[in-house]
Amino acid sequence: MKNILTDLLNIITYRGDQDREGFILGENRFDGRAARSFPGGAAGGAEGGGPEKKGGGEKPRRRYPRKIKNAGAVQEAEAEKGDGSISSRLDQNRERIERIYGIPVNRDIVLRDFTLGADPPLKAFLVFIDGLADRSTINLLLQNLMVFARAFGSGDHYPASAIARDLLPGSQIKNTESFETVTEAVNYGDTVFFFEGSTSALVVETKGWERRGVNRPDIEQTITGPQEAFVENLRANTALIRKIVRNESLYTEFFKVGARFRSDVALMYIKDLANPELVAEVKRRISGINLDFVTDAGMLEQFIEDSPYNLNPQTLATERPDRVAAALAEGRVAVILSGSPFALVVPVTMYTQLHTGEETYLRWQYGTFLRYVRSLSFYLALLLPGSYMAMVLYHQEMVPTELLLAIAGNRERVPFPTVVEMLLMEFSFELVREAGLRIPGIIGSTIGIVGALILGQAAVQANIVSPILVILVAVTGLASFSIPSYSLAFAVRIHRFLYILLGTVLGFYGIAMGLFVQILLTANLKSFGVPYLSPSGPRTHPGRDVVYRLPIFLQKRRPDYLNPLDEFRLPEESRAWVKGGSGGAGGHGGQ
Amino acid sequence: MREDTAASEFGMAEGVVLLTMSLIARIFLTFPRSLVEEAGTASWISSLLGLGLALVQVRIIYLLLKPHPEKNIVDITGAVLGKIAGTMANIIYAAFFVAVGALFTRNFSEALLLSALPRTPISVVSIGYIAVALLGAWVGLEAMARSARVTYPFVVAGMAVLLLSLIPQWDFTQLFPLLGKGPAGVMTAGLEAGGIIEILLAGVLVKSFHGAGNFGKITARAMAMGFAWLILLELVLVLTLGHIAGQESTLPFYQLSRLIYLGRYFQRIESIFIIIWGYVGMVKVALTLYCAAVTLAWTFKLPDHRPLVWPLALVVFVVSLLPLDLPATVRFEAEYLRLVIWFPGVLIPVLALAVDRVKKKGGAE
Amino acid sequence: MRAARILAVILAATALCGCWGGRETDEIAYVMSMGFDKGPGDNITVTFQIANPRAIAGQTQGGGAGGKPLINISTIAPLPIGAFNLVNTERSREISLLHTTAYIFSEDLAREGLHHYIAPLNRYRETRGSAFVFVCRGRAREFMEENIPELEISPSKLYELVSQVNRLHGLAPVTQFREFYQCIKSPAKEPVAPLVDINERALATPRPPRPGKLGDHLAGDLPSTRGETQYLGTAVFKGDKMVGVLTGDETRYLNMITGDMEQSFLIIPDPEKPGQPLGLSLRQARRPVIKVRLDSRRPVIEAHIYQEPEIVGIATNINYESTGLKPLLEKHLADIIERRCREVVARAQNEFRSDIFGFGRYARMKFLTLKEWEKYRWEEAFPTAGVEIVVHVKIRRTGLMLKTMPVHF
Repeated sequence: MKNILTDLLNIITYRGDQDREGFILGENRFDGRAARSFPGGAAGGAEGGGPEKKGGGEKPRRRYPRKIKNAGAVQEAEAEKGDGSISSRLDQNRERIERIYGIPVNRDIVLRDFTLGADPPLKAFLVFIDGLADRSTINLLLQNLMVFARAFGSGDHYPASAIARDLLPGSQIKNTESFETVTEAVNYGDTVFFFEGSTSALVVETKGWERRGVNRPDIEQTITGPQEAFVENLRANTALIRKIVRNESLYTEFFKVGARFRSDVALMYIKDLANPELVAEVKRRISGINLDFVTDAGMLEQFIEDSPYNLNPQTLATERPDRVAAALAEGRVAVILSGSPFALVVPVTMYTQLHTGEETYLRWQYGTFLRYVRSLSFYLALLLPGSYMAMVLYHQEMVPTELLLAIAGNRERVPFPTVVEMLLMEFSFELVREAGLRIPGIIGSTIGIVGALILGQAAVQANIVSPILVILVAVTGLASFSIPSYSLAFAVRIHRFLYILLGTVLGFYGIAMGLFVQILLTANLKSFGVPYLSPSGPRTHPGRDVVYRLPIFLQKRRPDYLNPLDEFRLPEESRAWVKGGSGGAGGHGGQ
Repeated sequence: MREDTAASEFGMAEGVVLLTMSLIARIFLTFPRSLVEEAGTASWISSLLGLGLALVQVRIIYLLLKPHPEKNIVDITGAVLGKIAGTMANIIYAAFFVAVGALFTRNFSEALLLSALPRTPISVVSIGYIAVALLGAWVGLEAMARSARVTYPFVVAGMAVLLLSLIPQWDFTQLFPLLGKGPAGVMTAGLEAGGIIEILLAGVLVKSFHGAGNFGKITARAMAMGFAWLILLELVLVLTLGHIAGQESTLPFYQLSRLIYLGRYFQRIESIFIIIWGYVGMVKVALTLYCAAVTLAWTFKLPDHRPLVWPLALVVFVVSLLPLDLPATVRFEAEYLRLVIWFPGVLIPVLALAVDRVKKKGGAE
Repeated sequence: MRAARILAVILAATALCGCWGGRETDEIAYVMSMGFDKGPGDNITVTFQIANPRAIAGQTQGGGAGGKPLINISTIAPLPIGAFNLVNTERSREISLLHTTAYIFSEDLAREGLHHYIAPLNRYRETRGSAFVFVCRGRAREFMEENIPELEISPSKLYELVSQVNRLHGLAPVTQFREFYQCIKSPAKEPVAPLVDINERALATPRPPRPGKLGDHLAGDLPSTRGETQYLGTAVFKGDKMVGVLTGDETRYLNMITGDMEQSFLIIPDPEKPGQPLGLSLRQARRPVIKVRLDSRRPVIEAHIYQEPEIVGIATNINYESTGLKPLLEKHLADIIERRCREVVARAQNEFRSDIFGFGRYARMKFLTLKEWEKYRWEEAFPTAGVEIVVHVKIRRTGLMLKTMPVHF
């Protein structure tokens, strides 16, 4: 009885803090500064690579003081690393490594002491990260150094370069004297050897982590053409491209991006095709990136694109090596980030975004047909719901009488204005699309377009929307799926909502306004100096591969807007076996 | 400003198309009607005459521009006519552009109200026009030219569809009597058709044309294309509606698009054409606004035209609301603007040309 | 960011202001056809035939009990457009002419002149230029009440199809609103309109058809089921005033001269055995060629008509397919057509004094300026004109029989 009373009292009385919030993530003195003050990678004095802003310009942002008075442990380590060159004393080096990696605490790092089996024995240790480095390779290296070194043993001083030359069977060995290189290498799966009395360490390539194999493309599926897709491994990706472009003038340049967490960025281009100014500009932008951390090409894209405020994507992210290869062969430049299964191709135009590469593999008539279907679906996805709104609200005379009466009759029981119906359906479609993506795979397969249609059917029966709207939204949805570029499809979907509003408020006049603004802004857009709507605005040599596609043997020139070093990709006689060469007559073609 | 417009160079195709779009803006409005009113069935001959007059104007401005390869008409007027007279002339140009911009804003807004949005307040439509024109003028000439180039095929396709789908309703005898209201009427109408500002606009924009040599080519082509559309429209208007009903209808183009009847399902599609002429109207207003701003900026040697765009847009808006009613606007255009247009369009350039020649001679002696 | 915020505000403002002038489809009453009758005093009785979308959509959907598909409302007003507001006092929905496909005027109204009603409609933005104009011999209101389509869902489809079928029989003209309006204004061609009426006498007829004439009736007189709506014959106008009527048979020749007759069935007396009918399906080979000479005050008009008939029925046993008899038949047919055309032209010249054939269109080609043309006063010259009709007949096909064999007794 009394217990119950005290319990009740306990519940209602106030009894101070019982350490429920024992941990609070407190403000830190270096909050937000650490990353900023970190020596910025390759950013040697390059000013912000972003686009020059027009007009108003950016207000000068508040600057944090560069000097940090009382640097903590982090700063200390950093400072040491700054002037850190390898000492000749092994124990000092070992201590240093331990301090850098926080060895007893940090358990990923393996630090192995051993004695070189030379005569006299030489003390040494190696360091690598467990899981990143290939263990069997390291065992082989150790075996060589500890067991077979005896055969070479001579002299009391055994320089690292000699060991690298004679003893280490690694294919890529680098001699380094700075700790910065050492940590960088170790962080990326290499093994570093230190030897007593040597001021240089040996970096041996032992990268070998678990990775995904090359798979079929998931996002850019095609029926014909190569079925390989990029993986998360940079080297594998460059190799995939190089496998297609077998040419010595395919250059791969490497950059490091990310101030604290370094990532490799490969820049690929064909030296005697790509315009050198374009290559220089891409390099300038990449080396101008100052950021903490890059994981995906999508992040990189946002740092190098021309106009971040425009909805249209200004680079082409593709997972297909054959597309990248084709782009390189036209004189474009590809940017590949380590760890990202997408390559960025620049510069691109609106039309490139609507290509898949498959059209080229198909015969030209089929390819042209495909492209027209796709262009139509582009317009449908952009304008169909907006035009419907305009037509039904303002321009009813356009609709055939029977259809209009059917629309009106079906609307009789619907309690919302048409725009609400439309937005409701569009929104649920987006919802299905998003949810279908997020739902765990097993359940996810049941949700899809079908789900949306069932939803629509139910909504119609419940008199929430009219049936014609369901058809309309479904067609629009299908059309937006047929836009090959994922980013462009996003842009189209967002624009579509704007057009719905414009069509609702001002009818076709509103849509005309929207088109004017959109076309104006798109025409004003540039992707790496190339107008986004070329080759139709500005007019340049069409290249016969824009919307329609002529036979490949007629596509003699590379796209003019890329200003490639070699304008012609085909010799005059590309079909030497036909009399008159590649002549455009195409007499055999199906008329 | 100098850098800005110097950088915005574009190719011949863009220049031609931009001017053409600006030139055909009037055929969507009441203008073709007034030609039919003046010339009767011979309105297409008047348009032909107008083309001839326009080419003469091109020649005049070309002669004025040729000796000064790096200058546009504003620079030349300023330099040749002296500080005060030159500045005055340039301000007249700018004012004229503003007036034309306002007139077209009003006319297009009225047209929209008549045709598609009968219950929308006119200010909303006008503000829409001004807003997009402001954006166009702000973004600059290059983007405008490019977007014109991109959309021109659609405009052409739309107008071709319109004109061709009326074939079943053409009656060739409607074109007769051939000379319409007689030579006098045809001439007056021709004078009206030839009074255009695009040549002056081209003279302002000449720096983007890669030199004065291209000015002739671009402008002449634009004239040919623009007038070709005018002639076609006049022909189809008279062929389809006849000169009597033709001069009655407020918006002949819209009226024509209403008549399309290709079976039960394909009729009353005039609203599709609203997109086309609404769009062309926006190009026109944007271009005149841009040119007004640029002219003022050059006249007063300002580094950038953009700050001028805002106030000028406001002026255009206010001026566009001044006329009391639609007939007043139409009368203003037909009786006043189309005739006054010869003053800045021909008189000042001829004056400048004469002064320039005389000065040159004086310098040579 | 600031721009985005401003944009958001503008968007919100526009969205909140509502749709300027947008009208939902279920707030509008779509008028399918409009009828005009004489009303009390200077007023007219305007009848609106309004579609009931619920009923019409219900038919397609299967499940709707939507009531009558068409509703007729009449009101009395001085101007057609003014009638809207009056109707709106009775009906909840806004009246719209956007989908009106037929304007039906009663004959007595038409005889007083239609400009009064046509002009406001032409000015009004909702009017369809492609709508059809009819003249009803009786009261338009009664006609519309009777004219509930049975085969079609909506009356608009009915009128469209009626005009299409016209091309198959050629017994009534097809007149669209814009054309009617143009003809009212232009002296070069006078307007015509198809006649419509309800058959109230069933199979009885006031006047038996003259021999060898098919469709020699006016709308409403054709013997048929009681209560059928009929589209037959022509209302002839001079300016905007109706001045007379042509029967279906006469309309055929009118259409032949204007070139609007694509196909028509014709029964002529057998040339060899008069009194026996011979059926032919006329088909226009090419548009008529019309030449006008204005040498003297009296214009001379020469119209060439080209017909390529197909033999449809030969009641006798005569083998007209043979090369010998075919020219005979062609000549015979040409004579008949020429005679009938002359009759119609004569009626137009003497009785109506109205150039419904559009000869004036060709006459004006002879003038250089509009002033001269107007001074010529075609409308006065036409009744005095000498009209010459030249008919060219060539039988191209003989149907599925290439030869007629005699009947075996």
